[in-house]
Amino acid sequence: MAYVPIADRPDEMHDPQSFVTKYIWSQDHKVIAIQYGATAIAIGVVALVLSVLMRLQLGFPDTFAFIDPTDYYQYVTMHGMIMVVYLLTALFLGGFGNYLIPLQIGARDMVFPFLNMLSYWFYLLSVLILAASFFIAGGPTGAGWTLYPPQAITEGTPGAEGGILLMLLSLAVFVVAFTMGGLNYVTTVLQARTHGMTLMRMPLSVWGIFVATILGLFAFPALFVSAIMMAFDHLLGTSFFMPAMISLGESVEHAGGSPILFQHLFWFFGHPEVYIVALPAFGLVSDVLSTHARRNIFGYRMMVWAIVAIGGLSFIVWAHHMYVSGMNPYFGFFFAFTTLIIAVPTAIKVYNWVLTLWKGNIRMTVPMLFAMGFIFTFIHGGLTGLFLGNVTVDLPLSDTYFVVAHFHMVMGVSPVLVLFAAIYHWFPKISGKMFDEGLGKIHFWGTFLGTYAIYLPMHYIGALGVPRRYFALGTTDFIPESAFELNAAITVAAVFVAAVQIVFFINVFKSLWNGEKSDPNPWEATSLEWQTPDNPPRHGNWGLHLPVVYRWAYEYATPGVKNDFVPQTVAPVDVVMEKPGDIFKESEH
Amino acid sequence: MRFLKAIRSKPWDHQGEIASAMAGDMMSVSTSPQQLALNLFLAVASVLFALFGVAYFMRMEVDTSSPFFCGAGYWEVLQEPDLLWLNTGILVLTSGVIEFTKRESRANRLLTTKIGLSAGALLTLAFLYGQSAAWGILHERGHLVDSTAAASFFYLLSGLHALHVIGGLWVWLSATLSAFLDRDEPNKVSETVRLCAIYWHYLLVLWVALFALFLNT
Repeated sequence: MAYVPIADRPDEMHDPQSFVTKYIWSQDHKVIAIQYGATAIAIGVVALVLSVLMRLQLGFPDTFAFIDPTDYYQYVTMHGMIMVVYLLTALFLGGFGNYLIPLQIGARDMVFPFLNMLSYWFYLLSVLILAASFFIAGGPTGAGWTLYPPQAITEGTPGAEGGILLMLLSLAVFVVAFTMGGLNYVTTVLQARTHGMTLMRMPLSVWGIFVATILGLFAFPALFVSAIMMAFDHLLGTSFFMPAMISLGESVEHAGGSPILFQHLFWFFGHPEVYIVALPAFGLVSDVLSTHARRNIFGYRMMVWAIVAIGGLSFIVWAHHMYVSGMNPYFGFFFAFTTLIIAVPTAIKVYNWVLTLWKGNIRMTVPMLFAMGFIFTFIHGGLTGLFLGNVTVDLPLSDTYFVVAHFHMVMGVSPVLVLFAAIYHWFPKISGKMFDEGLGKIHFWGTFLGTYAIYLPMHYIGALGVPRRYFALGTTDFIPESAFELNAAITVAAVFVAAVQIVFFINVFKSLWNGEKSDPNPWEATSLEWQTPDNPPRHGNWGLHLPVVYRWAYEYATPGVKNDFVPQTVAPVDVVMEKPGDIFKESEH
Repeated sequence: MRFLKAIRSKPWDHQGEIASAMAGDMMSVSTSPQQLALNLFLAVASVLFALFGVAYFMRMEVDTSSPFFCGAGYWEVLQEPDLLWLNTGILVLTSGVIEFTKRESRANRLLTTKIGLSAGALLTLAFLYGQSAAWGILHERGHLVDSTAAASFFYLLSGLHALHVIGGLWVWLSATLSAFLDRDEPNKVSETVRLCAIYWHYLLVLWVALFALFLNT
């Protein structure tokens, strides 16, 4: 059996007719992608609002009477979990994974469309369960997004009764949803590529999503295991994680459980999770940078290998989140070593992005601005990671705002900038409409400069020793007055950045409503999704015949060729040369 | 290895072996998508149970000198009911019957296929019943889910294994129904049975590993 029959299934040619099968119980990967994307962004807006509330409390303590410590911890927890799992993971893999994999490898759909549909509905269920916790007695859990026991399920913690259970249930359902989607993505990439689409001709977006999906398949079980065991501890009174202790003056019913065991399990999921978010971002940003710089991606093979290497290494660094947990110092040494090793392939990627821009014919479009913004924020966030990866430097910085600033730069702001780059880049393909360039630029500069205004000062107050997770700082000897003023300034910046996101939504809705009709290939890109017969692509993607791929996706500015790009689908004999009579020879970059 | 070879090719060098527009077609797919997805799922399930295994050992060895330890909750060995031996035997027999059904369905012998499908379903149900009976015995002996850590793990892991069995049974029963109603092509039934056979053998190996873990700790 070859790949093509799996990519090209004729039953995919029959358009679903009714509204319900077309838009609701849809098995079309593009509709499912939009469903995933819309759901993720909707719950993401909740997380954004929570972060603003949190910042209001931190910047102006004693001002907002409606925020009490319980609320604050619930905001922190829900903001973190929603952003990491329900927004970033879901939007990159469920959203862009679904949209781009079949289109970029030249398939008509995912290999298992029904499973794909099921994956979305399970994901929606997990989001609804999570959102339901806002409306139950006691509210959502306030245990921090890491949900560490014993605190998470002990009386006194916000949401320790019902909130935590809904969180655990929601996570378990999410893992099931992800597994169904993930089996599909991997199988589709491996088995449903069109004529001529070898693995090494795939765009880096697909590579990033592919490897991240494999990471997810093997990392999410750890979250599943910890969620189930904690639910057992809470519901059935077992002692997997719960030690004997005295809480609120009374002995708890548990004995002998190991909180550290939970931490190991959680971070065995938690650290690969960073790369489950980062690898698709790496892939997408590579394609955006290359397209808008009119240059082939620098070091394609090295980029692929780096993605694979980072994916492998990400499974052996987890305990760098646990340096202060009292583990054996030799463990710390090992994990510091692996953590610093992972900087090597990551740095290769950063150099390659910069070298892709070098001497490129850069078009300062909105997606390109976001992609270049990502390079800045990712380098800054990555460099502070070197501080925290070293045990001795981490100890004083642990649990300060330095950590908060670091991970927001590297895996909050950076992937979000890539998401915006990708949304603007693929918006004309997804919607068939062009967005407003001016509004897009306002959105970029507001977001980019605003996030720097938030996180640069945050590193400073972290270095002063200001602890994270505190509802209010009160008066202490070591926190100077200036730190309070900076905190207020950070809050102003945060409110500003949140407000700027309204511009994005205005842009999207305005463009969908009466935006200019987009050209099928407005960025003059080479990859397959831009060569579809219809814009936006119809059900089955490719009309009667699957596309044939003749080269990789990065044939930009080839010497001797008339246009500055050669799509993957153009046969060598059809390439228009500058001098008539010349024959196209594939470039030696 | 083929993967390693594939990612060494230079996509910008079109004079090489991948220059052919049909290069992708040349490589054959030796496994069906369903088979690949099943293999991946088994890998994911293995990671899941391996992590439970790690947790099991780490929980067993909770340091009694640690501040978390208060004299209670240490590891008490659980006396597993002998019925589990019988259940294991039933699962071995099920695997055998399913292997037999696979061969019969491949050879297109409809009657024996149907007998095999029914016997497989009944034996699987018998296994599940046996497991629940084992739970009942433990319960009667006073080993509740929150009594000791060993008991907690036993209920959790055997329960999760049973859930996996039930998931497989769902597919098996749908194939059985198709065979009796002549709903699907015999080829499709035969393919489902083939994949189910892999899954049941996996479940058997998994159970034997879990059982060995329970018996020895």
